[in-house]
Amino acid sequence: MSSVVNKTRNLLLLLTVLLAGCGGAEETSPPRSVEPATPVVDSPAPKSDAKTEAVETFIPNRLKIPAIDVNAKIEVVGKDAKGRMDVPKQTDQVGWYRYGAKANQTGNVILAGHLDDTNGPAVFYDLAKVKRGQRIEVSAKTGEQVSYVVTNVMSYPVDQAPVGSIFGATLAQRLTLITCVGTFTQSKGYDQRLVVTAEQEQ
Amino acid sequence: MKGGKKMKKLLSFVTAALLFALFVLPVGAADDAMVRVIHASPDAPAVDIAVDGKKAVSGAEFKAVTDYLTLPAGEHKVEVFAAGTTKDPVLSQTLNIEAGKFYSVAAIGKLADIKLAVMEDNGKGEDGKSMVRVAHFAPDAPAVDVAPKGGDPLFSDLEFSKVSDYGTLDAGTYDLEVRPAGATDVVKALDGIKLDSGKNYTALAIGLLEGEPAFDVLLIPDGGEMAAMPDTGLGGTTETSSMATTWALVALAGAALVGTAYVVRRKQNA
Repeated sequence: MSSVVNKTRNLLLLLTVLLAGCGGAEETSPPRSVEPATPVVDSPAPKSDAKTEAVETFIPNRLKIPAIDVNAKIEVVGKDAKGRMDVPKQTDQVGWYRYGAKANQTGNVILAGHLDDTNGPAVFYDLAKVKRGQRIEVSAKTGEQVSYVVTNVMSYPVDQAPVGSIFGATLAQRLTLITCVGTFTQSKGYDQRLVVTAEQEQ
Repeated sequence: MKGGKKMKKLLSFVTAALLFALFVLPVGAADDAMVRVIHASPDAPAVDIAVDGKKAVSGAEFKAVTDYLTLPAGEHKVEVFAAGTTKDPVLSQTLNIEAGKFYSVAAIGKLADIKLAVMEDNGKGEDGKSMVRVAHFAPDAPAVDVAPKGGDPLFSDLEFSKVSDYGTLDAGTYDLEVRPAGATDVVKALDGIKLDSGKNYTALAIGLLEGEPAFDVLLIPDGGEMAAMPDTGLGGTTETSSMATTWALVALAGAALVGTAYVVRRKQNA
């Protein structure tokens, strides 16, 4: 019995000290409720037991678009010196934008691939043939895989692409594939971009 | 005063950031700002939103958070209509936005006194960290604190229609709780809040404490690392390019000839 009283007194003491410590956090309430049984944490540390996460997010390593026979390795890209999303070094590979979302994460997983190289077709040469409702698969090195269903296929003049919805945060779980289309000039490259949007299958 | 010093520091930082921005803004996106819309008015119907007279969002319901629209920097007229209507906007406001920045525009309050709250969102993330802020958009809720379970408030005494500054936390999963300001009872427990490395968030407190739709907290990701579109074609499948390649080869051959001539000359001189 006395130990309980002591415990309560200690807690109250602790609470008082903490309240005083947080700089004038109102001396309003002498013990509002006398059972603050939870230990007081002074600075929050992330919980180690991430109980909510059943499925892990992952960095995409391979892209499959069965409808156009694409089965390509994915490399990590950032931005180039001109502030553009960078492109994969290999034109038969696809680049994953490292500042966007990972697969299976809320946000937009952004992949870019070449339409062509200097000699002929590259990995996304047939991307314009993709249609709404078709499936796209993204997998990790370790085998995890998520599927997306195409919801939109659009091309835009290069300076009028909806960069806010591509690179900005979103509550969707989305995949965006980008390649070139339009007219090619040596000085400016292609004048349009094809944007394929797909939503993650739940 | 302390505040003055801080302000100076901030100003010089802003200047530096502006100078920096002048040189590194991505091509193509340099003149644009990113704007999204949030429906946080608990008793308002679904809405359509027009920007400069053109419909930009349709049928957004309570709790809807749109993707970021890309708009040219400058002034824009934002009008909120009951969905399906194009006359007598519920709200109309001019928005002044700056290039390269992110904004969230929220319709808040009950329909009778609905208004727009404009927030500038923090676009840039930091590896290993996560920046979080709280927006109090629940019209009948008192001022609140947001704290880790049982801990000291991270955000305190936030009133309706106010938005806190961003605070920086280590990326990870947290159990947080919303409490009446200065009190220890819990209005809403937020268990298992996951903050990803390099991402920033706004916790939106919305809904009604008394009645429907019920009080809720939405954690929404903010900003993003903007880029211009990638250069994903080298022209090898076009007519013009084979011509261009030919010319490039001719030019190369020419350069080689000049180079050889130069070497020969030097040898002769020696």
